[in-house]
Amino acid sequence: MSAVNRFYDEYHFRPRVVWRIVREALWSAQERKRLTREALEFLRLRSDRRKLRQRPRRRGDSGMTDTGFQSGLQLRTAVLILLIVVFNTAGNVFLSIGMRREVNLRPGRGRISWRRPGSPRRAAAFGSVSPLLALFLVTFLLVLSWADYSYVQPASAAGYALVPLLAHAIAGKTCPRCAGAASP
Amino acid sequence: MKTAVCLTLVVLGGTGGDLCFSHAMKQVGEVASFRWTNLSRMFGRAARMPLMWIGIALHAVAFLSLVALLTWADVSFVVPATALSYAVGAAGAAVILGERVTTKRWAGIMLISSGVLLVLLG
Repeated sequence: MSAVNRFYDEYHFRPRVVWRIVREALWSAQERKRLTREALEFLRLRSDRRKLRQRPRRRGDSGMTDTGFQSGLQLRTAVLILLIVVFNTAGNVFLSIGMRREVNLRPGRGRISWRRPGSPRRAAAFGSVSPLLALFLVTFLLVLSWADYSYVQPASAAGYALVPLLAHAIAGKTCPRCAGAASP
Repeated sequence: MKTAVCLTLVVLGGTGGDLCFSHAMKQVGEVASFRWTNLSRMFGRAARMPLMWIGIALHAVAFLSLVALLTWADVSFVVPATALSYAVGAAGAAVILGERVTTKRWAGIMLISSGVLLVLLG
């Protein structure tokens, strides 16, 4: 914006042009009025450009000319997507562990029962799932308030590489499909 | 067969729910600060939107299908297999939400889908 101001200043205030304009204005009242009007308009426009450069950025702006704001927005988005990945991955792994150990599901008869009724491990297995998945939902909704869904969802794909690793580390499962899981 | 049915419910339910959430949160507005009072006010506004509850219902269907699937399938199969929702989600975002999905983004989604194919063939 300062470059624009500098350009207009150097163009309009060339010495030869200034002398011609002033010489004409000296002998003509109409010319003086026109010059005064145009000078005031020029100064008002210059002031508006300066105010535009100095106005504080709103969060809704694209911020393309303010690198500080843009990098802050990207940092905020990156941190929240990282949290989405971590919470979702951990929640899914603990949910799988809990369901495998504690639940009997017989699809043909449509019955669901607990493997070990009254098991204290069930509370631990499922108790860790709810806050993790709740935190995942909260961070996911927060990011969706400003970012595109078609960006957020693929960006959280790193969780698919993390799931087999976490499953192996916590539940000791082997991973024949790790090649496919790691490709995203 | 039961795996395919559950997987379809997971993908369509999850994607539909996410699209509803995205639309609802855009209507609520961008989060201004991460203070507790501001966040609770924001989620209070979101809770009063019907689209949010439709999204929750769709996610409930997807979640129940996922839970059922996890009782007989490995998590290292199920979670990557549900990555089909990326392609469905991007298409839904472009068509329903009117988002601009760039070529680079589509290329990333195709890469994810190829990973899913590798998992399913494995």
